[in-house]
Amino acid sequence: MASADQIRGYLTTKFGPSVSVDGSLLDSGLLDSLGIFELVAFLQDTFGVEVADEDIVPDNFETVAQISSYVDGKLSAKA
Amino acid sequence: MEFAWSEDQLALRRSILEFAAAALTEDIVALDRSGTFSREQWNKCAEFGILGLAVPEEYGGSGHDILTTMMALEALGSGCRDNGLLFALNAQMWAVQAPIQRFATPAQRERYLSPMVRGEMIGAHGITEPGSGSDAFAMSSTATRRGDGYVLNGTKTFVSNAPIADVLLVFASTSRARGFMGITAFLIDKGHPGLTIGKPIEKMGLRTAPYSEVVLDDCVVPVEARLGKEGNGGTIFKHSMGWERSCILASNVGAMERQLQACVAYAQERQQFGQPIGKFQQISSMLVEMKLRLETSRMLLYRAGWCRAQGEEAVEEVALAKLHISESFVQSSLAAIQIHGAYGYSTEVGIERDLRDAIGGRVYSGTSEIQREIIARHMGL
Repeated sequence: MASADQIRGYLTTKFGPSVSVDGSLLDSGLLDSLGIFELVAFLQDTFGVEVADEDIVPDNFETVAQISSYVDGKLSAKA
Repeated sequence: MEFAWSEDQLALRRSILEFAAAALTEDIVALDRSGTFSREQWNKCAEFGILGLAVPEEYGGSGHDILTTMMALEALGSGCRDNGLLFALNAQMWAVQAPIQRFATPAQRERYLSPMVRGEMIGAHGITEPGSGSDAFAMSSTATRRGDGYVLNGTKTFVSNAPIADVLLVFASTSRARGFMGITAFLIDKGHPGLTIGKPIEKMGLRTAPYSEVVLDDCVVPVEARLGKEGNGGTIFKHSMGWERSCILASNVGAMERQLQACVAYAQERQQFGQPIGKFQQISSMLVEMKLRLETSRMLLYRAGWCRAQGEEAVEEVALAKLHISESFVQSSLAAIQIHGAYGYSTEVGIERDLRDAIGGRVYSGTSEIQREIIARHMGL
């Protein structure tokens, strides 16, 4: 979960302090289609991971914790 | 950027021009008047390999890169006067085949992709609804999970190829609350219970490419009908649009070249006041503007293709190309009519049809207004 703070920091900057680690970013309507692809660009630029189109699903993007887990998994696979 | 074509690419271009001249010879004025899709010409294109240009060889395609594919489609647009047929081919290639190629299971690819490449099966892509066009993800259609499948309900409209389709790629919301990430894609065969394809909707141009409404009424499909994962539909649609917006207007660039050649020839032959009308600067200026629109369209097309070939999504470059080519084709079609005078205005001569067809390019695959919005956003506005 090393990436969680950075991801939450990015989202807080965009959407305010209400972004929590475990709250749904999707049901809250925070992440629309543009927001998701901006987030994907942030993840790719910040962590050097490639986010495949197939991976852009709720299982990976529902919460900050899930995004972080997804990124950490990608980083582990690269290591 | 390097746009010099190889000998192989130039040979492909020549072969497509020869194919179009020899095989795509049906009376387009009559087809357009009656709004008739030509399955025979579709099959000829499939046999030649048009539908498989960008499809891997294992599925019957030739696996060309995007620049070669664009060049081939430009040549087809130059050689074939049936813009509707070209639109229908492109609608399948980019909005149906491309997402299947990328997101389908091996079984789905085997079932749909190879037969489409061979021309045995036609695909349609349904996302637009009566209440959601440019704002596509605000769709009302729903897919409710039930046991090992889904129940789909909703209405799609302006679904290109639907009246002639064997399979439909449709998008429905599995969770309205999740918006973009609540969209899921499904492949549904024609004749499936609960799926009704409406009568063709008459339109001003591209009349040889039929579209219609599609109704999903308690349409129960197995989970195997889902394309990609649940909630991946928005990304699948975006992937399709990336390809479609990049490539669908390549044939319009070819059409503009054909149009310009015809206008130059006419301006050299047509005599008024004792000289060819091309000697009058009012006419030659129109031809120069047509030439400029053709060349700038071509540059923007291949620049977008080159960027995508580098692995970039090239959203801004694609939007610039889509906007400029579609608007240029309209303006050049108007000029072509003006240069031909009353002959250009007459349906039988076939000049005015390009204008009716061209206007569609400002609307489909993201309107010109949406392309401007995308470009403005990339400018930081």
